[in-house]
Order: sequence, then C-alpha cells, then structure tokens
Amino acid sequence: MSEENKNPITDAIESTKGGHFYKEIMKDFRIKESLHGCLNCGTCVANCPAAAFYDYSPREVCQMIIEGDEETIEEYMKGKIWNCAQCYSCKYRCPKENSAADIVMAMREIAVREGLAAEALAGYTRIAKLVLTRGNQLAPDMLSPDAFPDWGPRMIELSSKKMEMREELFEGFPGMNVVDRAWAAEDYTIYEMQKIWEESGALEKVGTVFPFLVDIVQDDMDDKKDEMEARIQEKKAKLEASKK
Amino acid sequence: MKTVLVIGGGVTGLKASSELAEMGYNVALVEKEDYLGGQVAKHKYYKLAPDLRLAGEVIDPVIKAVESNSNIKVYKHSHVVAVSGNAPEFKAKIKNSKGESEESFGAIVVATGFDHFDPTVKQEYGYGRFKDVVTNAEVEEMLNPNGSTKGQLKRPSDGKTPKKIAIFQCVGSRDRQVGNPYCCRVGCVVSTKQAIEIKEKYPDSEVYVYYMDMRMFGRGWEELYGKAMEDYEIIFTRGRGAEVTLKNQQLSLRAEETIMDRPIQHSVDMIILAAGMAAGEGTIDAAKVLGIKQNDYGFLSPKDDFLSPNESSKPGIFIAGADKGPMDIENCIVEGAAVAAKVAGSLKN
Ligand SMILES: Cc1cc2nc3c(=O)[nH]c(=O)nc-3n(C[C@H](O)[C@H](O)[C@H](O)COP(=O)(O)OP(=O)(O)OC[C@H]3O[C@@H](n4cnc5c(N)ncnc54)[C@H](O)[C@@H]3O)c2cc1C
Ligand code: SF4
Ligand code: SF4
Ligand code: SF4
Repeated sequence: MSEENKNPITDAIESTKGGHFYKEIMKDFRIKESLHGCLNCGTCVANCPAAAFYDYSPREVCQMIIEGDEETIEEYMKGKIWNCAQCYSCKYRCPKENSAADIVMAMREIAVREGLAAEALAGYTRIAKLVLTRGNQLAPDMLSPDAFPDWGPRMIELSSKKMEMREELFEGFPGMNVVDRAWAAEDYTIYEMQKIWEESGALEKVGTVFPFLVDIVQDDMDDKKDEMEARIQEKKAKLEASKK
Repeated sequence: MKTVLVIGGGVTGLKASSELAEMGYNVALVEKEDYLGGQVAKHKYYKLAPDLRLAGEVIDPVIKAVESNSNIKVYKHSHVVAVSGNAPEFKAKIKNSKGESEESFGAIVVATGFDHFDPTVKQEYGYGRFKDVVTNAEVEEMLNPNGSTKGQLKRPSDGKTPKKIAIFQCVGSRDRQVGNPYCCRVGCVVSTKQAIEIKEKYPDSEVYVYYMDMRMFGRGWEELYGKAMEDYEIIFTRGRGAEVTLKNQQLSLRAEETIMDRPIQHSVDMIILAAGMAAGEGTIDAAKVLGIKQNDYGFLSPKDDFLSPNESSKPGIFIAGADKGPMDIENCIVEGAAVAAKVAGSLKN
C-alpha cells in the first residue's frame, strides 16, 4: 500500500496493539474474568469514587485494554491507574460483569515490576515508610487538606483546626505536635512484620519504587536485632517445651 | 374436524384463535385471567408506538373477532393442568373455579407471552423504596384516561405533576448482573413514545432519556425518535442510569455523560424505569405441563429458529408471540397468523 492510501485511523490501531506491556497484562489470569467487551454505558464511572474526584475513568481503563494501544497503556501505568480506590463498585454494577478494579490491580503489579510506578507513587513515600517502620499506614500528622480530596471538604475544615481540637481533647498531652502513629504496634510485632517483608521478597519489590526505604528498614531491623532474635529463640523453646 | 387448544389470550393467542376459527377449526382458548388482551389489557396500554394510535383500535377488533366467532370457546380464569397423548391426539385437563374437564385436541398453540421485568432486584434504582421511581408499564396505565390517575401523570408520593422526568433504558435487559443479557426490543420505542405523550400533555415538563444505544429498528421508529428530538425537545443523554438516591426529599440520579466523558448527578421529580420483558410465570408453567424446551432465559425454544420458528420441541405443540422472546405487537399479530397456518397444515396430514 502506498503511503497516501493508508487509513490513518485503522493503521494507528493495528500498528500499536500487541506491545510488550499489553502482552504482560493479557497474560495475567485476572484479565479474562474481568473483561467481556464493554457497552460504553458508563455505569462504572457513575459509581466510581475516583472518577468523581480525579481525571480517571474505569470505562476508559476497559476501553484502553480492548484497544491495546501500547503508548496509552504505558501512560496509564505511570499515572491514571494509581487513582483507583479498589472499592470494586465498578465490578458489582457493570452490566457486562467487567472489573476495572481487577484490571487496575494487575496493571499496578506489572507497573511496579517494570519500573513504571516510581513517579506515581512518590507521594506515598511517607505512607510506605510508616507501614514499614511502625505498622500503620496513616498517622494523624500526615493528614493534609489537599492530599486527599476524596475525603471531602469537611477534612479541610477539620485540619485547619487540628491543633485546637487536640488541645481540647488532651490537655497537657505530651508530644502534642507529634502524633506519628495511629496506634502503637509492639516492637516485636513490627520486627516480625519486617522479617516477613524481607523473606517474602516484598521488601525488594518496594525497593524498586522506594530504594532508600530498604536501607531504612534494614537499619531499623539491625537496631532491634539482638533483642528480637533472642525473643524469637525464647518463643521457639517455649513452643517446643509445650509439645512434649 | 379437530379442535385446537390455544393457551394464552393475549394479542398473539387471540389472532391465532380467530384465524383458525375462520379456517373452520374449533378452538378452545384458555386464559388464566378473567379478561382477554394480555399485557396490553392488564396495564391498560393507552397509545401504541410508533403511530400513537389508541391501543383499543388494535386490540378491540382482535378480541371481538374471537368473542363473535361461534367456533371459539373461551375459558377465562382457567388453567391447563395436565396434558397427555401425542400429536394429533392430545388430552388436556382444563381447570377453573367451576371444576375440571378433560377434552381431546388435535394440536396445541402456546401463546403465553411475557412478564414485565421486576426492577426490585436492581436495588440501586430504588424501585419499591422510593415511591416516585415507577415502571414504564405503570406509566402506560397512568396515561390512560380510564386508568388509575385518569390520564394524568402523577407522582405516587404526593399526587403532584412531576416537572423533571428521567427515563432509564434497559432496566433488566442487556445486563449480565440480572442474568438477562438480551435486548428487550421495545424499551427504546416505548420510552420515546411515553416521552412524547408526556411532553404533549405537559409542554413545560423536562424529559430526559438515559440510554446506551437507541435501537429504533422497527417501522417508523427512527422517525419517531427524530420527532422526539426535533419537535418535542426531549433530551437524550448517552449513559446508562446507574443509581438513584433521595436527597432532601428529591430523587437524585447518577450516570456518566459518556459523550462528554464525565460523571453526573441529576435531580428529578420522577424516574421511569424502562423495564424489559422476562419469560412470564405462565410461560414457565406451560412449558412444564407440556414438557417443551425453554432457552437459557426461560422463553420457549423453537425446534429451529430459522426453519421451524413456530414449532416447539414436541410434534403437535406450536409456539408463538412474546413467549419466545421480546416481541412487539405488530410482530405478535404476524406470529398469531403464521402459527394458525402451521397448525392447519399439520392437521391436514
Ligand atoms: C411497557 C410496554 C409497552 C409496550 N408498548 C408497545 C407498543 O406501544 N407497541 C407495540 O407494538 N408493542 C408494545 N409492547 C409489546 C407488547 O406488550 C407485546 O408485543 C404483546 O403484549 C405480546 O403479546 P402476547 O400475546 O404474545 O403476550 P401477552 O400480552 O403477555 O399475553 C399472554 C397471555 O397469556 C396468558 N397466560 C400466560 N400464561 C398462561 C397459562 N399458563 N395459562 C393460561 N393463560 C396464560 C396471560 O395471562 C396473557 O393474557 C409493549 C411492551 C411493554 C413492556
Ligand atoms: S474499584 Fe477503582 S475503578 Fe472501580 S469503582 Fe472503585 S475506584 Fe473506581
Ligand atoms: S460498566 Fe462495564 S460495560 Fe459499562 S462502560 Fe463500564 S466497563 Fe463498560
Ligand atoms: S430495546 Fe432499548 S431499552 Fe430495551 S434493552 Fe434494547 S436498547 Fe435497552
């Protein structure tokens, strides 16, 4: 076919489908169960909390996979898919029983593996650090009015009065200005959790997005190591004794 | 001359009965309700799509043709409870409040029709919870001068005339969540017709139709759709109605405006659900008594959809009309006549 006779629209679709990321996504076992064609009806979008607040659309996610354009997929993996709240409303309402939620989850895993997630997740550094070192994902001090628009306007109002409200609640509370965890997990529990992260390879995966966090966690573990390992031995011995 | 048993006195069964009687056959027409005319009579359909012709102009002559023909014996409020034998020698037990009788028939026609899909199971639409969410069948009855509201469109909650009305298409159809992936084949034209009727009666009202595709494939349907937009300023929004809530005593709907790519919320006074067609209980009962095949959705399966559309899976038992799947009245009348010809042919052999 000569250059002039090419149809720019169909050519664009044909030439870009079937790229590397597309193939990786289609290999995931969840996709077949999650996409049965799409009516473009918008039921998913109408019910989607992420679509209400961000430039994001579960319908677009389904259409994007159907079309399979590699550039668009890459763009989504770097950005839009991270807006989904994983609430599954889309799945339970879709007349085709599609699940943008599952497609997004599969894409997120691939994005992490393929090194596409770092920028989108940069804003979550503090959350990841807190999970890995304290076992909580949010601490009251992390709530800033602009970070979570989906929590609604009341959050902005509340956070502006944060200090006064705390003072009212806890008069003379030590460390008034630092509330760095939502609840306290024991050191031992945190150490166990960190070991699970480490031994399962999850910590390494986290490292692909937040490399410096691996060092922080390892330092944290080293500090407690002697004491905690001793406790582990103690527990093991107790368990053995109880078996006899 | 053999007698033919026709089960179901809707437009299809009526047409089949009168055609057979005209050919000289005796007919026993068994109808479970105490009136003839099927869903058209039950919900007092007022005007028919696409011509906005009075339903009575169509259904009354069909009923009259049956009632005035001495070859037809009508059993109202009756059921066929048992059938034995094979073509062309069937025995059927007909039961009603007066008792039970057994009679012999040469052939059986099943014209048991459909039931309106019950939207209660689509909980997100609030039907049954919010009084002003109504079905298209209920609106048919309201618009009829002989209906419950004497032809006025009224909100069930307070009897007021709604100003903003939204119509949801495809309720209980094209929906795997409720097990009905098929298209109801009349919802689009019926909603367009109802929107026009409402605008004619209440020119100040605003009518919005939330749709996925407007399937206007019938005679004059596309033209009706054009008229709705051009002459009546009915607003068609491409997006399926997704959810209904009550905010400050007002209905609020959610959908996506899929052409603009944005989720919307819309406050309205009344929501009409274009509930589709489901296989009726009467059809499922009849299939059981006769032992004929149904498809995945409960409708009756023809022996061959292309080659023997009016034959059931059993010789001597014939099927026609909306018990085979969604069908409009025009096609039901064609089916009624076609099945009569098929029965006559089978009895000659
Ligand atoms: C809201 C709505 C509006 C519509 N408006 C239009 C329109 O404007 N124009 C149009 O062309 N079409 C319209 N239709 C379609 C129309 O209703 C159908 O085409 C028509 O009613 C089908 O006729 P039928 O005789 O096959 O079935 P039905 O009308 O369902 O009649 C079946 C009859 O069989 C009886 N029966 C069932 N089971 C048994 C049994 N076991 N024993 C004895 N009797 C039994 C029933 O009581 C009923 O009387 C509309 C449909 C809907 C949902
Ligand atoms: S799971 Fe994600 S895409 Fe689906 S409705 Fe929830 S936020 Fe939207
Ligand atoms: S609800 Fe399902 S069918 Fe409708 S647009 Fe979303 S993915 Fe497509
Ligand atoms: S006829 Fe129209 S309303 Fe009915 S299911 Fe088909 S598209 Fe939907």
